[in-house]
Amino acid sequence: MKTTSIKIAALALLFVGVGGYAIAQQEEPSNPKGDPSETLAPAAPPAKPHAAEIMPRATRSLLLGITNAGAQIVAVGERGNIVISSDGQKWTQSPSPVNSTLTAVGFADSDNGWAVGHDATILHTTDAGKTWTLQHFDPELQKPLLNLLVIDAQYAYALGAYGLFLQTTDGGATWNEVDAPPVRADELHLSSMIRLNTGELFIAGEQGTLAVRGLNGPWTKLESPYEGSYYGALPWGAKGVLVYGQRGNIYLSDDVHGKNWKQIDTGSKQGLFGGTMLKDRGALLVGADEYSVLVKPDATFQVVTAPRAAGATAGGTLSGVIAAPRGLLVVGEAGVKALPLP
Amino acid sequence: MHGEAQGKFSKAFVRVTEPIVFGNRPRTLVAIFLMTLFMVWQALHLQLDTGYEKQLPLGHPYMKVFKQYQQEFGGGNIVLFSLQQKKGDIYTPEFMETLRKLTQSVFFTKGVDRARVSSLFTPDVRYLETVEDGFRGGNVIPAEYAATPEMVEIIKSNTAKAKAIGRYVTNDQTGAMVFSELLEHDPMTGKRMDYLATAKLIEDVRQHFINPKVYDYKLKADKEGLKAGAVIDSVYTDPRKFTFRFHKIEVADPADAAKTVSVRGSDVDVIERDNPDYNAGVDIHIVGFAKVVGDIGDATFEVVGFFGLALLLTWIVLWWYTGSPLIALLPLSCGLLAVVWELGMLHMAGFGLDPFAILVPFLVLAISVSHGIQITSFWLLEVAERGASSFDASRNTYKRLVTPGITALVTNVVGFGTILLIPVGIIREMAINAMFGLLAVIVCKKILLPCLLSYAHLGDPARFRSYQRKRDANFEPLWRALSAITLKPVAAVVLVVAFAGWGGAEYISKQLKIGELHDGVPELRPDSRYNQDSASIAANYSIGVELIKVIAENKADGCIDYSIMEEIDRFAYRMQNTPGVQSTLSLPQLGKLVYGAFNEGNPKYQVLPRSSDGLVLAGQQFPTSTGFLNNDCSAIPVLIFMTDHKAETINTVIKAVNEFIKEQGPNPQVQFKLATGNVGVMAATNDVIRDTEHTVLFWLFLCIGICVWLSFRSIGSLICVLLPLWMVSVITYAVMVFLDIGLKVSTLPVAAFAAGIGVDYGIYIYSVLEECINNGMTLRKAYETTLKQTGKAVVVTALALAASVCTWLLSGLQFQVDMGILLTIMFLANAAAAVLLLPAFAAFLVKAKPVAADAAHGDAASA
Repeated sequence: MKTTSIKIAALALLFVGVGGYAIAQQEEPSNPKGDPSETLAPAAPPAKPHAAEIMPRATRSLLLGITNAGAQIVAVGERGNIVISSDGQKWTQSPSPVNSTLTAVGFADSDNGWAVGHDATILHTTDAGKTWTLQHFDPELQKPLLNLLVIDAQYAYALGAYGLFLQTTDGGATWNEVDAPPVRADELHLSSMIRLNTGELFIAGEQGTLAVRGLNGPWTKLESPYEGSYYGALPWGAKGVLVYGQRGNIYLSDDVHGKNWKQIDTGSKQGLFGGTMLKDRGALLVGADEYSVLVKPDATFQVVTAPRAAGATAGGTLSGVIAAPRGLLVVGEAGVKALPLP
Repeated sequence: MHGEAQGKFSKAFVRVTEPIVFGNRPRTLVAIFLMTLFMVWQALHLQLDTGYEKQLPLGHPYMKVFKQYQQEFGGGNIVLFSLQQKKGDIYTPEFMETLRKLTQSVFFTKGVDRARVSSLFTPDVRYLETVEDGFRGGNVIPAEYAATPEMVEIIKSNTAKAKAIGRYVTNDQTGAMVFSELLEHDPMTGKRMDYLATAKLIEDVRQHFINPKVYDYKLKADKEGLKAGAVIDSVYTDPRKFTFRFHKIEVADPADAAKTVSVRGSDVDVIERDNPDYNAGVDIHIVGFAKVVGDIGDATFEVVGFFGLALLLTWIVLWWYTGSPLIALLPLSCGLLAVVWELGMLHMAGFGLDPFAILVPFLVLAISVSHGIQITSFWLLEVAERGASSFDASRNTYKRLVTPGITALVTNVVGFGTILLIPVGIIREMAINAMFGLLAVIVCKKILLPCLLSYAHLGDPARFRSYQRKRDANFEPLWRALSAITLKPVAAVVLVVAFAGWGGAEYISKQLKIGELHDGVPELRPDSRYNQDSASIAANYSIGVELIKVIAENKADGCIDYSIMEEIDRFAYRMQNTPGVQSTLSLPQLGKLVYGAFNEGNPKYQVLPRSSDGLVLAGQQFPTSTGFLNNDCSAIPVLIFMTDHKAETINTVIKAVNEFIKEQGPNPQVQFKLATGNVGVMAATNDVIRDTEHTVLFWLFLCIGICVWLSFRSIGSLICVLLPLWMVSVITYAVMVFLDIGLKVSTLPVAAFAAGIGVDYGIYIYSVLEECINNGMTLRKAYETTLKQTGKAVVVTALALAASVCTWLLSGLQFQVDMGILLTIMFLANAAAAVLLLPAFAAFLVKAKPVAADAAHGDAASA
């Protein structure tokens, strides 16, 4: 295969884009803050959040994060869409105070949870996802939040692009930058944060970023077996971790401090964007073009993408998966969909 | 008094015209014969012809948008080819090979806008992916394409990355699309496209891959530089039909490529051989305006068959009625002549016969036969009852019927003229066509027929008379019974029933829908190949064949302004959530996909970047040629694909668009302009029909009213003639509701046509009734006489016409079926209304005269 490589201008432009954010910001006409008449300044980024629209197709539009919150399943996605369901079949859209795309959702218990997303949005719920309040919103920052880790109803972390890393210790009343130079210094995208079975915290991100923090200690950067981007991590065994990401890369280690990474080569080049642990069966990972693969506890793998029956519609890229009361629930470009357990 | 005036006018007219017509009958006949020869010659040159632009309601504001952006974003004249794998998915070398060749053959089809041909094999379908060290992108089909299994795997993965599923590939990946758009005018010569020829080429593209055989034209002898034995052309549709010998084949001149040599079918041998491009595993679905036109054109032969059947049935009814097959032939052949004249005049005026207007000649024949029966009937009466000679009977008939007849015809012409008020080219053409037809009817029926009848030779006058008398005797009791309607109590009952029916019909007709009520193309049957193709495409792709494009107008370089792109995106999302919308497609939506692709394909980045640099990055994948933006990005179309084109669905979507525009408030930064795309055109047409329907009816009845007033000069006559007509038109609408027929381009003229035919009955009956009353008869007696003289002709006409149009129910064209049902009902309802309601109104409105007023009319009343 010899495909036209166009990293030329495109890559350059991306970097111009990246670097240009700051410039663009400075170039904006300094609009006096709090000016109520924003009719005459179409170029200025709207400082005010707009509520998401309640629409019938919310469950069939791009959904990016999904979680089990006790009795309720909650999924979030583009345009600030938040949908909840008690059975995984019938969904209702909850009103959201912001229409920025939400990328992840997590709960401390059956009632208290957070959702994060673009424009550095952080939403909070105390009633199992029925209503949401806006705790953090900063479009001028030009950094999306990509994931979160909820410890309990008071403690939570939110992380995102260019090393954006926030935490709250008071149920979201205040969100503060996390002081973690090993993780944040390079301003790389932070994709995923999990709690290992040892209780340690673990982060995976862009350019092979892997970092771990002891129960009380500082963050330590880990040497990565892979230089591309990781999109997610799952606790593996008593002390280990499984990381996955760009171009179908999966690595696992029985001991996160042990440096003995083992690659699971599935032969697929499809990016893996979401995953979940299935009880006793291993880690189920999902990604581009409906691809899904099960990494079994014995480190063997099984591609579980069901061969598409004639007449079935293409599901597009998948972004998240959870084990539901019956089978699996996946979210992605085609919204939320039920799948059988592999 | 009014009788006096009419009498004067009538007499003056007859005095002037009668000597011209009857003074020298051979001269009249020769003049008409020569004219007819000329018309036949003209009519022979008439061709089936249509145009997409004729269908457009050009005055509508949507059409301004349509015209303004036609160059950049295309119009609505699309042709889609969906290549469908019968078993399994499309990722086989054979399928890809066929798709490649199909794309090529669409590309090289004459009339196709090559810039807008698009499929997996065209370079405008690209994908983008991120690899560890940068980006990789390219055409879905790599440059080094070869039909190998390995390559097919690459194509499969690229197709997914290009987000082409649902657009270029069916949702289940068992079919692939080739998009194309036709150019109505040749960009080089400016000549308008020949749609029927293009439709044949399009069908040939299909046969190219699904017909196991190919047919070569091998020249029999040398011709204009072409060698004998040379294969001059190959086609994939079996050309060997009866008419092939007359078929013209255009071949490029070997000496001068710009010129063509025209070869006849009889000059070549057709050699059948195996088709190398045949693929048994696929089928091709085709939709598009040109294909519809072609399929209707193909049914023309059938339509001509129905024309013959209509003639035959009418002839049989006339034979029974006149008792002589020869005399029955006279009004019929005059009717046929009127149609020939009509077609001749159409060609002289520079028109072609539009497949959508192919039923107009039927209506002309119907009207013509209807008048012919009146004339023949009166002539028979003269001959049978009064023992007049053929010549005298003809003169009397002429004297008697020329005025009401011409009144009726002029009323018809004016009535059809009101259809000209509808600003849609094709409807106006239909009106002009019908008006030509009526002019022809005036000449053929009012002049030629009496002339011919005067030569009619009755072999055995006594037997002929006894046949007439016997037949009339059968009707006698019926006429007497019907004449009771003129008694006030009976009339009151009839009127109460009629008004009740009217009220009910009025109520039902309120539910009459504007536009299409069914899936697919209403001109063709639901189970036709075309409609099946259309349903299959609509079901298997996320896009469909039903498209409204809304143009988002904004400032220059709007696509790098976040707030503008966000607003367009929000609009598209709102549309997507509108019932009846299958999916939407626009630059911001695609931009989000590209931005996601640039960010390592991570769906969490499928957003519109707020910085203009990010938007530049997302937008640069889309050059102007993709049709998703114009040159300076100040206009961005939002493509709204709909599940169907039913009037209600269109209304819902248009309403949603207008609601969004209203929410934007005054002076929005993005102005959403309705509408282009094929359904955009339908929406505009529906609007125009909704707006003009009442105006047309108003002018129609006003014009008919004026004509009736001029001939009879009484309020009573207006009510007697117009009210039954109005009731029938309301009932027609109610019938349309009942039959699920919407008011649309092809059915709108029906109301006017039917009123035009219905008014004949009223005018004939009223004119005789008035005359009898002027001669001093009681109303009942006068009506009985009227029925005897002209009523039976009305009934026979209605039966003959209804019999001929109800055969249309067997037609392969759905709109002929619809028209057949409507016209059958209307011919019968109009006759019933004229025979039953007119006297009922007359019972209250017309006063019998105590004394005979005009001795000149005495003989008519003495019967």
